[in-house]
Amino acid sequence: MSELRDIIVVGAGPAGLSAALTASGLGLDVLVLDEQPALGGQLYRNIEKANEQTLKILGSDYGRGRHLIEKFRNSNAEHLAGATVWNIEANGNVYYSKAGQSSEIRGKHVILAIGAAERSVPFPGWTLPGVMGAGAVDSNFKSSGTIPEGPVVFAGSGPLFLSTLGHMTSLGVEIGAVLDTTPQGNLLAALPFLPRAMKRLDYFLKGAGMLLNLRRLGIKYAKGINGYEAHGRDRVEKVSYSSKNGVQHVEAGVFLVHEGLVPRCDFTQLLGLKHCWDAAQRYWYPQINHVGATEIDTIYVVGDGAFVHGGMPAITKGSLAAVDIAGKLNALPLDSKTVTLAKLEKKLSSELDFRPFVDVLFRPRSNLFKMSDQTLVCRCEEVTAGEIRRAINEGCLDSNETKAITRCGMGRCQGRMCGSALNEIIIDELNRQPLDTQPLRMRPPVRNISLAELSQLSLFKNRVR
Amino acid sequence: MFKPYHQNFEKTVTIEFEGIEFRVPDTITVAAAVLSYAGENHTSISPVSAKKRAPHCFMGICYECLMEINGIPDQQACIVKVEEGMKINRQLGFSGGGEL
Ligand code: FES
Repeated sequence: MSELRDIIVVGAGPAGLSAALTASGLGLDVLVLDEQPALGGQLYRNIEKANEQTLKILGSDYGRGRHLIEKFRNSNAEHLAGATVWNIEANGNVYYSKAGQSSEIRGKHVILAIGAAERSVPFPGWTLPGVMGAGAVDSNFKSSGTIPEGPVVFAGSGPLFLSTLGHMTSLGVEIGAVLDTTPQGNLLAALPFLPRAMKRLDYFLKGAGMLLNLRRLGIKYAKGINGYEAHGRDRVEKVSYSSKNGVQHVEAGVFLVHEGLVPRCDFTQLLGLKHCWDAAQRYWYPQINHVGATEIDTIYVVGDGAFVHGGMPAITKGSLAAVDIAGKLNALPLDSKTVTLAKLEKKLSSELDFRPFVDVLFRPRSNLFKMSDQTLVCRCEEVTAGEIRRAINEGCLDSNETKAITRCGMGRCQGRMCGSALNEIIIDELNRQPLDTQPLRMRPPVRNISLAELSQLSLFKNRVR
Repeated sequence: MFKPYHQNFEKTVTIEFEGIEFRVPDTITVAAAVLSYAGENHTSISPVSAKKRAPHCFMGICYECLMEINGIPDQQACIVKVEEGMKINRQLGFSGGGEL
């Protein structure tokens, strides 16, 4: 493997695959690094080995990935599975770990296609075995063909919440209850975006069909839920939830939660890129231009890691970045680059017709991060919201100071599970605007690797800074 | 906690979890195999309180699935695929103040 590549793509989901195959189609030398064992990211996880039954249940949103991966396989782009990237530098150096060994490689350009993750929202009992992300269990089904044993209680809101619910009902999972946390005022606020969204009537029909199906199956469906807790000894046994009707309980063998998706910003934050705040969806996203370029010339960000738009737009965003880089590397004449970009941008805009409506319709509830003092915020170091609040009231001014005092964010997940909750507590306690806060600082290695592995890392012989 | 939905897998492999052999589909991750075929409800314990923990994210973020795989500790079982003859163990050591 040569040490300098035209493009290194990090992530083999829809955006990364699309970027890679577009770029390699234009004659560029592309390497895709991905930590998952198989191509496809979360959306298309394990699709190359999916059987007919699975494809039928998961529908075209999943099946579409086959075509993309086929095209990728037929391209000249190279793919390394099980390669966990743990550092990226502004000059295009990328460090990754595979099978217990770390290597360094360099790209003229690096395309970050890291994707999104389920928003991590602490609540009492969320560390109990059996409490999982709803999307997590959906992804897990794709690669393992296993389904959760009921009664399964669902709580949350958002498009992925509904599609997972649809999949699990089709799979015959025993569903104990569905607790919808979507604030009921959202619909009114989303109405101005309805006309544009109506262009995607198919989505409305799908959503309506799903809800009708729940009713047909006699599944308990509660709206306007504003909080929930998991109870049990060694695993979840019961879920309690509150609404304006007070607190109620339901038995649970597995509790699936989903409060929306957020871009994974660890690498963009590590690179010190400027981030913006989305007030509707309450998340950070890296500042990029219309083709995914960042303020660092080498670095591009595509897909849901740039902003959560979903699978189809991710594919288009991947192509946009690839075409732009091809122009920079003189693999594409200026006029054809301009024409291609314009076409792709038009495609993206129509793919996003549904999005403003969805983003407001599924705006998170305002008490999302108003957890009680007893709630464990940091799962790894077991730090409670109360301990964090005390540290803030004793003078900690940002996430990093609070981390140093309380150890919140210092454990094995390195703040990925508690980081946004920690920052939200600071916003609340100190009455700050999100943009005036400093989220947890990222430092390499951004994924956990052993010291032994680090010490054996052989660096470039002729290293250029 | 999980059960197989279908058994139409092209290939299966034999793994060993805590000394017992299981046959599982070859596409499955270690975490998924432990929670379904091996019938377990937890994959690790909290290093602070020694309370039982199980996968939460299934995609490499939460680190609740750290297990010993083929003798190497602290592997993320949710992103490692099973392989023929793989030996998997839970890690029961912890540094905190709880009791086992
Ligand atoms: S289950 Fe979350 S990292 Fe493995």
